[in-house]
Amino acid sequence: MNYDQATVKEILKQVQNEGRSALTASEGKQLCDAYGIPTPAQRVATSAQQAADLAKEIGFPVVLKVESSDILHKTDAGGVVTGLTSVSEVKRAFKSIKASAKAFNASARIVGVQVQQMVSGAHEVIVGGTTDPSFGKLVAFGLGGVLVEVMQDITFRLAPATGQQALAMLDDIAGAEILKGVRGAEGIDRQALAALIENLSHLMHDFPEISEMDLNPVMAGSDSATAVDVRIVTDFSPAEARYRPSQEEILTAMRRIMQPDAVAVIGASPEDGKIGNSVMKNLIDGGYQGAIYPINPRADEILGRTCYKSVLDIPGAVDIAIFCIPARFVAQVLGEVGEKQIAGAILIPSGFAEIGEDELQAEVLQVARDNNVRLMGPNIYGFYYTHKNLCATFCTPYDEKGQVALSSQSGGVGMAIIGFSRSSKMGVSAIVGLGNKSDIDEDDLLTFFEQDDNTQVVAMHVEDLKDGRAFAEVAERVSKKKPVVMLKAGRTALGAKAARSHTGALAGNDKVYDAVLRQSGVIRARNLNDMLEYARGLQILPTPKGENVVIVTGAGGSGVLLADACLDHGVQLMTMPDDLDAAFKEFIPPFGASGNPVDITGGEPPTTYRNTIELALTDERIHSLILGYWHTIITPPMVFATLLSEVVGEARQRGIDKPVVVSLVGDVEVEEACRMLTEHNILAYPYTTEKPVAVLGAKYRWARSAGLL
Amino acid sequence: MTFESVLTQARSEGRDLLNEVEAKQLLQEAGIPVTTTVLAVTQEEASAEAARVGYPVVLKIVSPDIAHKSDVGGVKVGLEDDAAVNAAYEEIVGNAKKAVPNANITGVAVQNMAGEGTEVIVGMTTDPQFGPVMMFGLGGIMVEVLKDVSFRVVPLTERDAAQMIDEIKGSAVLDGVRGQPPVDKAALCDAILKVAEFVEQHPEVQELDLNPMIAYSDGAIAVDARIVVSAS
Repeated sequence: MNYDQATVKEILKQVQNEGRSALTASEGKQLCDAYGIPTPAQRVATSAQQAADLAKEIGFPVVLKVESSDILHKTDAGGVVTGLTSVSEVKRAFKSIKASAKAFNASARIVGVQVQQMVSGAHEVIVGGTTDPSFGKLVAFGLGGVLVEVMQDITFRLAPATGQQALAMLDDIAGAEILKGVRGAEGIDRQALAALIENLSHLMHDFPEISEMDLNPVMAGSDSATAVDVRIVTDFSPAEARYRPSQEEILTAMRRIMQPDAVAVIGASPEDGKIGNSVMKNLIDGGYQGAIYPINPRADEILGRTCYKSVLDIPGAVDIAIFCIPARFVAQVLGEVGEKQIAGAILIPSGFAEIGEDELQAEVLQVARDNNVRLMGPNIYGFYYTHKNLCATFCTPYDEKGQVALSSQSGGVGMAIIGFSRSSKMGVSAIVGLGNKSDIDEDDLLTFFEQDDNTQVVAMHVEDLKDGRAFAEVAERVSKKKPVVMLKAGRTALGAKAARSHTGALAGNDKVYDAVLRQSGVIRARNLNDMLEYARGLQILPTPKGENVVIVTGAGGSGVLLADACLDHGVQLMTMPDDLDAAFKEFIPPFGASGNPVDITGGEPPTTYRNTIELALTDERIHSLILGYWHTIITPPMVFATLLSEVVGEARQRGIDKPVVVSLVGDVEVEEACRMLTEHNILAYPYTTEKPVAVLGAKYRWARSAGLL
Repeated sequence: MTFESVLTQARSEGRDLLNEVEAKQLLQEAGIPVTTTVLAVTQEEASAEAARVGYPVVLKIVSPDIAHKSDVGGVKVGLEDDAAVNAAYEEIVGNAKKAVPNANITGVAVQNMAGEGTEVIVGMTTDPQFGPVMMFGLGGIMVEVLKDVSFRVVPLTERDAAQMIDEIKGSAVLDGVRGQPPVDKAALCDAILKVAEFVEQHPEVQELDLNPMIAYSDGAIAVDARIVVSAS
């Protein structure tokens, strides 16, 4: 599509020169024309007679609308009359509009009255654009009318959106069926509507000074999509440019920060209970092999390490400085850290923006920028990088090495991550506290984890994204290679920004997050436990090769619940082919149920479990396996766990590595069985039919969005 | 017209669906507000009834063989005068005969036309486990797709009916959006309770739909009604 940028530029310039923040209807139409957004034929009339002449020229029926940039909600001002079918009606409407508009706002500059062709179409929809403080330009789509407002049935994408993304938006809304034609009504021209959405998204993207845009309604017919009303709001104050180092600069610094060879501890202390003491102990006890330099002007040696008065006194190079001193001293020491060319400052202290000390935080950030130092925090517990045995934190050391990297904005969540990891033996590559995120944030971390071979899964707890657009860009790239899970806290609407358009008002912050995360291939966790379980499970589960999932269960009851959970989590149960059905039947009692779930019945010996599981693992048409175990005397929990470990182990040796998740129900012994299965790298959960399916579902969501299925 | 006589009549004709005129008259007797609807079997009757109920009127085909009246061109709305009623009568009967050639045509229902308001659905279905269950939702195609409805098992208390109205997702529409006044929830509540009582008194009723019922800031009225009875 060729867009006429010159025309748009000229119109916007005029709007700016006249000190306006809204476009008139005819200006809006010209912008639409320039960007290939169809609008009805329309002309401005300045007299009743001219209106009547124009109506004849355009063809009846017509709509009359007041033309004034001072009247944004034209209907409220009595400035719209529809369905005019004759010259006399048009003349009457012209006069009534002029009178109403004057009565509504006496000082409004009224250019004239629009005479517009009346477009009818199968469906009223709304297409809009808005500016989000974090994500920037967004394009929105929903069905029109009161119900959209009430039901909030609307979807978003980052602008510019591709044609494919625009088409996907049509299916994203709950009322998607309506557009396909229900009750004998005609379906809409999906390509035409998608093109309109795509074009609007480019207009928003190309001209950042357009802050909000509403095409409401767009009449979507069986062969066209036409924007009947156009409302455009501008904001000419330039957005504050955000500090964005290049990817190479980010990586150079982040590699030194996350995998340092030498560490300085500012405010190291010999005294038990001090943060500067805990950090020293954790570095040493954690087994960190790089150089450790305590900094304290009043000590010569701390925990057997030579102490320095300043980082400038350290003989060799240093990669990170861990700050364990009060907030008010940070800025001063940070200058020396910069002079020493240390890549990153880990700011543990609190007392900054989180308690309203925004200025102090800004001052520290300025020193960091001036000295080319990246900041982690402030107000954090520190971070871990297990493959370097690095515990740069005052919390407890953690050493279960693995491939999951986690970050948290809150310290409490960080502690939960550590406790869960330890308890569930989740292998971790890194745990990072981001706290106030004065500088380093999720997109810096993702940029590092993307190329970190020790990390295969990333899970992040986020309260807000400082730069959602930058995050989305990086996440979209990274999530193609490694699953990215996000727990976004604070689902309620932001509501801070007074919106002047429907689109703006409908952009409940959480809906935007939801749409952007999906667009970027990020798996959203709904709660803390989900995030942790997804992180752990995604690491263990291999990527499925297809959508065919089979449930094999010893308890009919579990089978039904597992099947319900499949529906909830988008896991697709395979339609069992006849020959496979017959093959399963060979192994199960005649009163057992084949099909899917395969119900092997409760009283079966270990061999039945073994035979059916083996069959499911071997048959290439089955891509993933959900097992429901039921505690019985004939096949006790540990017997089941042992045989399952063997069967899966044998299959893995033969090169068969399918996702297998297990639900175990029974007495407390099933907990021990789960522990044993975990040790054999099999995902098993006691007393739940939900979790195993949710985790498998998360793996599927990722595989689909990464294009692997 | 008693419930028993209508039931006997329907069963004797092998019908389990009461026609619109029968359904509305039973509901009216039960105190549920419905648009006045009378059966006309000739053009002359239609035009006389139209004058009696008052213009504008709606004409609808009445036939045990035609369930979806609109789909066969069997409904004409907004008829303003005698000429329009006469023309509509002929057209409706013609359309019906063309769409369903062997249809047994009972006649044409003539009803006064309700003003514009908020469309809702009040209904009842018989669940194999729970027996009669009341349903409430907003009307229109959008809601049908979104399935935004609430249910309660009969019998209902006033509180049940009020909760049914408030717990649908789109309930804000009833509270008045975009400058519209709120609808008369008490009238809706009353209609739900009266329908619940009606089906409780008549266990032969298997399904019942008031679709749509139009709600106003003062009152509510059912525009179309459908009742299915058990075969024996």
